[in-house]
Amino acid sequence: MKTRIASVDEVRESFRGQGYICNDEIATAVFLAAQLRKPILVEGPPGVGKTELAKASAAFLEAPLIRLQCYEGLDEAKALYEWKYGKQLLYTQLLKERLGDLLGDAVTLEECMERLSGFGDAFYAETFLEPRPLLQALRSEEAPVLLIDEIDKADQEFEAFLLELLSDYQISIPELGTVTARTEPLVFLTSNNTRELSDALKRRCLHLYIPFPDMRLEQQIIAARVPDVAEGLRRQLTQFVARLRDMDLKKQPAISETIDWARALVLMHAEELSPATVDATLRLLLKHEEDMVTVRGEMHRLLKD
Amino acid sequence: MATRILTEFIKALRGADINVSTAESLDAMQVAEKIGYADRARLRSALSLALAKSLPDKLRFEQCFDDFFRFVDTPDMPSTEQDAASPLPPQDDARPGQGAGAGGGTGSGGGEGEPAAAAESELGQLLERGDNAEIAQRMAAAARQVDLTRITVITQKGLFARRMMMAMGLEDLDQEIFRLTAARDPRALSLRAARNALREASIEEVNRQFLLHARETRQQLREEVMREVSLRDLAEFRDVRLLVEKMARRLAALHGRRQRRARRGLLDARRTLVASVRHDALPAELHWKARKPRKPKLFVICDVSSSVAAASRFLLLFLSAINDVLPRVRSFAFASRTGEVTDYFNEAGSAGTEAAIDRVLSEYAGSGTDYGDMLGFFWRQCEASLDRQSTVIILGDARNNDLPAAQQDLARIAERSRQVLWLNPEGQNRWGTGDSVMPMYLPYCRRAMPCRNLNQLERFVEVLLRDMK
Repeated sequence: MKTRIASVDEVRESFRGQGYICNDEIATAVFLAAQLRKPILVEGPPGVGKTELAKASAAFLEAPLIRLQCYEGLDEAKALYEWKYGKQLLYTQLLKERLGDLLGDAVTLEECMERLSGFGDAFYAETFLEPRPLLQALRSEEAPVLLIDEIDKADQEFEAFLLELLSDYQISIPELGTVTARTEPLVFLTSNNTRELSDALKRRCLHLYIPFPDMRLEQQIIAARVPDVAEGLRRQLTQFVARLRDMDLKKQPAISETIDWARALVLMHAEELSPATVDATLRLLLKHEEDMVTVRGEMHRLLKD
Repeated sequence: MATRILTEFIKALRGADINVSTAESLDAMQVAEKIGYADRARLRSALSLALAKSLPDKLRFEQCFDDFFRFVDTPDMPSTEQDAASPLPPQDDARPGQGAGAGGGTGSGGGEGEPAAAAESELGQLLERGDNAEIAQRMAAAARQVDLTRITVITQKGLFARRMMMAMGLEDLDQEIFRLTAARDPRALSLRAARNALREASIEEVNRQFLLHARETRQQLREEVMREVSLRDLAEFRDVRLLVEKMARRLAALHGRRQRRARRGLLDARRTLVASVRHDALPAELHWKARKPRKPKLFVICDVSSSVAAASRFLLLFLSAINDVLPRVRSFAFASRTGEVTDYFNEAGSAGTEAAIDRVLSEYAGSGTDYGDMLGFFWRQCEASLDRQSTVIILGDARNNDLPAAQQDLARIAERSRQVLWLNPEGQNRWGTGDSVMPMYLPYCRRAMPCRNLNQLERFVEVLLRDMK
């Protein structure tokens, strides 16, 4: 991982080069997180580019990205490590005869037990360990960017389990002892705020809130991602989307949806927004029938300059 | 010095109800060190990363940052100083130094504009030079020396302003002014004017600090007072709803979590056996039964007659604030008549709770409460839906205007349901005095608690939630 970062502006420029347009606040957050080696918790409405930020940071830092998607019921076994049960069983079956030989002259149960324990924990050794994302991140030769996506979907227990990792970059595995990170990863946690995260977790992280971009920033994003859109249209469509976000909708259009919409408008050779073009392409922006009905009713107000 | 400013800033944040832990303060120091103090906007977003950990916190943080660093920011200080001095423009002309520069035609004072005539005291010299930036710096230093952050009451303002001026060397200046006045020296006048301007500036400074710090401690103090004050007087506080919501959120978070923990039930022997076939009959994977979630029902009956209405209001407010943890609640209101008001709340939705409560209170308001009638009504209405999962909460003072108490109805209700909980807005020592029939109802209540203030109400809701899980 790149360790020397000169300034916040360097981060921002690199992001710009990758097509990830962001404001000063976001760049500052990444700069600080990388400099202080602190985990960073990113919150905000869906579709503002939280996951994208982690990807862009990994590219900027020239570090591998390890991703852990959280969901309800995620536990250590799936996030950290698992024993390869199948392999363990197979080995015991195959080695049955050898075991017989080894234990051949032992008569009493105690003797057998003693002999067996003499071989050490052969079946709980590294060979049978299946590393999952978190362990991968800790054992990685090169410091990675670890993305723990949608932490709010995981259970409270899992959140508590992460605390050790976040503050000391180490994790305790009962059978192996404490695993300390070879190189400290840069951790991104993202949350859509479906539930309140615990204070203990928040305390260990820098906290970044990404709101929907303002019109100026969104125009820049569109300009970077869909360069074919004429400037007049770009202004019109970002204004339209900004007004949509002010309405009481079931699902507000995300940045990615604005981009999709802009692409569609380019394909349709639209020069400017008219009720007809909007009506034909609205499905790209809105994903609920009720929202479409609401918006169609207010089309004229939304399109007014 | 930077550390000190940050520590003070964090103190102000804590006062503004943003919880900053020690670890986070340390983070903030590191962050500030990396970012530097040159770029104000960047410093603000950087500190916000380390100190404010939720959206509401971030908004409060920004407000607080702007208030706080308006004072500390050095470029701002001269201008505020000028503001403070502006009410006394003539004094500028009277200052010997400037008077001489503008042309010494002002009479006998002309000759005294020379350096030889400069004031003797240090503060006097400073004021004569009229270097606003330096005065501001000195004032900031004095403010730190006096520790203005300790100011908590508005009446301390004069005291703290005076202490600040003392720290800047007021005593010497005063003596000099005294001497000059005695000698009928015209410079006494200008010095006195400058001293007045300084005093005003000091008071202004103290005011600003007071607004920043005391407002926030006051907020905490206020919350404490609000928790203790009797519910009847509480309606006067405008921000009480916020406090109730805050308390409710805390409880909801506490108990919501607990519910999740209890979800896993006993070992599911059947599924474990089936799964073990894959592993040579070794039970390598364990399966658990899902615990059947209990579906408790809640019935709330509120006395809304004028003497008790306030308590009812807060109980309803509290219950609606935790409705994501609580199961379905059916609410009833009564004074002279009884009726079900569940729909009022359903229609209003979570946003309109207060409006719904107002509607209930106005429609059912009255005097001459009849508890016997209410119990009979409730029994007839809900006999069928009461079961072992039902909890009935009754809020009222049990002052029955000498009407029959009908405790046998309460007995039937208690028999049918899981429990009856009674909340009485009167202190325990008044139960049973006058026309209160509380002692007759007591045997049928699993718990009877007073609820005179928010603290007691919170305790009750906590008991309730623990029981519900």
